[in-house]
Amino acid sequence: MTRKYTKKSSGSTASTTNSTAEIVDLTTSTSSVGKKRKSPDEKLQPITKKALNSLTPVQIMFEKYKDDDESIGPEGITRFCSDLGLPPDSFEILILAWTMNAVKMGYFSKSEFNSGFEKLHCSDLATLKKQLTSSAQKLKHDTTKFTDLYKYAFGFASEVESKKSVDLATAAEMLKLLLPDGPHTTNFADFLCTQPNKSINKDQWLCFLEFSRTVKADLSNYDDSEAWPLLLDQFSEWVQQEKRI
Amino acid sequence: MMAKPNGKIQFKNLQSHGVLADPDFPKRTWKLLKTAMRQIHQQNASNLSFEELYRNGYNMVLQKHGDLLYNNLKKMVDKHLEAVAKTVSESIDEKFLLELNSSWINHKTSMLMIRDILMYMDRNYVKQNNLSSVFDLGLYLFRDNVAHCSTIKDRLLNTLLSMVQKEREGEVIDRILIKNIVQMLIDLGVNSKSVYIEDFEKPLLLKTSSHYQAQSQTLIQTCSCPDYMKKVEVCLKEELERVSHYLDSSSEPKLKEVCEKQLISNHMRTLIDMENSGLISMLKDDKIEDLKRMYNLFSRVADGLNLMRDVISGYVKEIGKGIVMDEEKTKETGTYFQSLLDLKDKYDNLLQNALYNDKQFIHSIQQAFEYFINLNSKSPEYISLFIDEKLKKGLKGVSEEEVDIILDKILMLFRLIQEKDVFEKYYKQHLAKRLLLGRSISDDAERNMIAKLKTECGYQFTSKLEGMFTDMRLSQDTMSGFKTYIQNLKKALPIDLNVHVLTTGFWPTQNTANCNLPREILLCCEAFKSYYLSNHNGRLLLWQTNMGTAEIKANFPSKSHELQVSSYQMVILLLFNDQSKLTFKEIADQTGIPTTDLKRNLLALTNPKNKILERELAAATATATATATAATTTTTTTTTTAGGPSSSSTATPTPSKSIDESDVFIFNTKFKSKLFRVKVMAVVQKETPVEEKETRDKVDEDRKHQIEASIVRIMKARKTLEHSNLVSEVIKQLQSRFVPNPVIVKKRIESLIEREYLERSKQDRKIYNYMA
Repeated sequence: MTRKYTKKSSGSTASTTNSTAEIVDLTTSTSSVGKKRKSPDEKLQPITKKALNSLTPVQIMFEKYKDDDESIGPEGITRFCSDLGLPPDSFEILILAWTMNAVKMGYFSKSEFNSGFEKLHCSDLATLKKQLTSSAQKLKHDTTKFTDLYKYAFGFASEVESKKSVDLATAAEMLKLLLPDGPHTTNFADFLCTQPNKSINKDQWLCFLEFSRTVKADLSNYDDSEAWPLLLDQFSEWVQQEKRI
Repeated sequence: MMAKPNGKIQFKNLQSHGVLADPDFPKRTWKLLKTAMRQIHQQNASNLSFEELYRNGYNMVLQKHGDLLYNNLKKMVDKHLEAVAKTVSESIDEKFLLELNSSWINHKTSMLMIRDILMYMDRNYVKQNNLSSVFDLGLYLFRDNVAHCSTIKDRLLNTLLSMVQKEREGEVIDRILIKNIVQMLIDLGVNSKSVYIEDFEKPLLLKTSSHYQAQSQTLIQTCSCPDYMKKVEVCLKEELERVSHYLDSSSEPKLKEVCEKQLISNHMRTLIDMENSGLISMLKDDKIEDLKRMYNLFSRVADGLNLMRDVISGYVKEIGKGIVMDEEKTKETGTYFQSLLDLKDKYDNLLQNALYNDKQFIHSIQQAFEYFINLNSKSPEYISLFIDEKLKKGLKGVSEEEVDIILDKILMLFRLIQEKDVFEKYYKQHLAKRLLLGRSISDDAERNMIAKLKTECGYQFTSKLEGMFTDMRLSQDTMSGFKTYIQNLKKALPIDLNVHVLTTGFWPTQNTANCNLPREILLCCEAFKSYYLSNHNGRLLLWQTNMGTAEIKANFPSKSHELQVSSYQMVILLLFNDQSKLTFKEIADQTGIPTTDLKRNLLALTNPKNKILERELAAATATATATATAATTTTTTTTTTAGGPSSSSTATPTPSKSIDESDVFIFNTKFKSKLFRVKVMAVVQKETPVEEKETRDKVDEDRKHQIEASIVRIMKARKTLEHSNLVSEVIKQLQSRFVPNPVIVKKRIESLIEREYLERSKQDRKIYNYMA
């Protein structure tokens, strides 16, 4: 399967290949890439183009949805999404946020917005949608990149300053979005609602991805002496108790 | 005739070359020899000339007639033995073995003579042709013609077996005869024991097996376990004697094995489980001899001891569990522990006297103790209470060595406790009380105990306990300094104040609210404080009024008494100097003593034995003067004292065991006691469930830190480690204090991951890296 897909992807348009490369670059070292980007592209491009056309199409778009000078807020995002024809809580939008390296849910800052479009090599909504949809398809088969997205999603979903924990309900929603077909997602989301703690930490979050990938739906190969976080031990117990297998 | 050939004879032989050509020579010579052998067979050899016969044999061989000589000899002996066999088989019952034996002896003698005559043939012809030597040939022939003769072979075996059987049944038999016959069978095998094994040993073993099978069946149904074992011992001994008397020594292990299998292995379970006399009842009744016997017998067979050990350890577990879970016994901490000690004594005695201190038994009994002692989560507390009791009064009039023995015994059980940290908590509490209230009977015994704990659990375990002793010593110095200081001031204090300065952290301090001390005492406290702080700058003194004691003088209408009370009780009593009647609430408000403590102390004061206060109705007056006590705190400490007059009044009695918040208290003027000094005992402070939980929580909290510290220690040294290894190392490190639950260890690891002391390896989730 994977092989077949790779072939196909290499045969697709130059721009797609390019954007994939961008994503890889972005994820390997998020912060430094952002900085690098700023110097050659953002400075050069806007200055030259501004002279010609005063504003780039991306900037125009930003102006259209912005809530204040520096960012697009929840309301702007809702409008942006509906214009794009994708629900705000879709996998594609998460990919967009990831590409932009958006720090906080519900907000795109100006620089995030610009860099995102740049990385995707597009400047209009139709192309953007196409790019996002194809990325979404590809990601499902690319575990390394998906892992990066999954890691990113934790920080993105976290509402606390330290980015060390995610509220349980948010975590449950996010998991459903990320792993809609995961063998444990539904159960785990339900399980989280029964928990007395209020949040989930990064370690637990990351381990759940591996858990979903390696542990069978009936938990037959689960071993609680294998260093899984306690939360997952409790989860497996809960599943057995509730007879959800 | 038996003279050996010598050089002379040989010389003669050389001369006889002249007869070489005689064609009749072999026949003639053989005839001569044959006649001689007949004579030999008829035990009539005295007339024969060995020299002549030897020469004849020699010449035959020398002239290449060896084969003729050999074959003729064989035929002749063969024939002779056929006749012998016939005679033997015709002999009647008892004579049979005798007859066989004598023909065997005769045959042997004959064959020895013949061998000597035909020595030359043996040395040359036989050797060159790889034949059996003359004597061996005789053995083979005897074996085939006599021993294996159809009319003899089975009869021989049956006779032998029936004789053995007779002996087993107690009859006396001719052991020498059997021995000879057995020896014959062994000899007939020539160089191996095959004849003996096949013809006798194997059937004997079979017979033995079936004999003991049947016998053990009967015995086991009719005898008790000890009787059975005694009989088995006898049987085994007899069988061994049998071997030494008439069997070949190689049969010993085989025979032993058969007997042991039939007598022991096959019945082990039945013996152990035998009602009223099996292993369990032996244990119950301390049947040391029987147990020893069982150990000896069972040690002979495979798995015997394992089985025995399992049953003993199972039984000990059951008994121990009974003690540990017994509601009645657990109420009385003394008996609870005493029962365990007794049990330990009993099994130590057993191990030593019946089980030869077998290491595996020691181990499994120890494990059994460990199992049940940890079943009851209160065991650590009870051990500490038991020691407390011993150190308070139990050791009065006991010599130092005996104290040592008792403490050692307690320590043996302590060793098995998994939650040593819980024990430490309680021990600290109890020790604090002993030290502060001066209840300890012997300082030496206390120190002895600490020293023992130190050897057992290491320096860390006792450092705080030792700190407590140091505090006590320093307090004495401080107090003498304080007294001089007061004298120099020339301003006498209204009461004697004795302060113990306790270091925070060493003592089980509670952050209880302080009660309101009477003015006189506060004055003294201030004086002490200024003295102390002038010597120890920068310290903070907090008064622990809940730990002090006081002596107060009370003037009752009949008589005045000196009351020994706690600081709290003193504070309560002094209230009655000003008022004769107080409600619970008033007392609580004025003293500020926490409700639970107040109730406890009021209960002690209204106790029917020392009824100083009367509940409800009536009035009282009393006077009290007091000296007193101590308490402690952060870097320092305190004491309280009380004094002052009080009034008395009349009273009416009211029963009821617990103090109610609506109760009213009155000074009991009718108080009477034979003694001048009256000790008001604090109501025994068994932990309330709340306190118990507090202690638990404290322990759990401490454990968290200890586990984390241990994880960090390990990871710092190892940098990277696999999950299960980390967990087991942590458990190993902490084992001397408590056995951490792996789940809790895991929780701590996760917490450390969250706080970024550790991280999961990127390659393998199960491996942790230490983050510096």
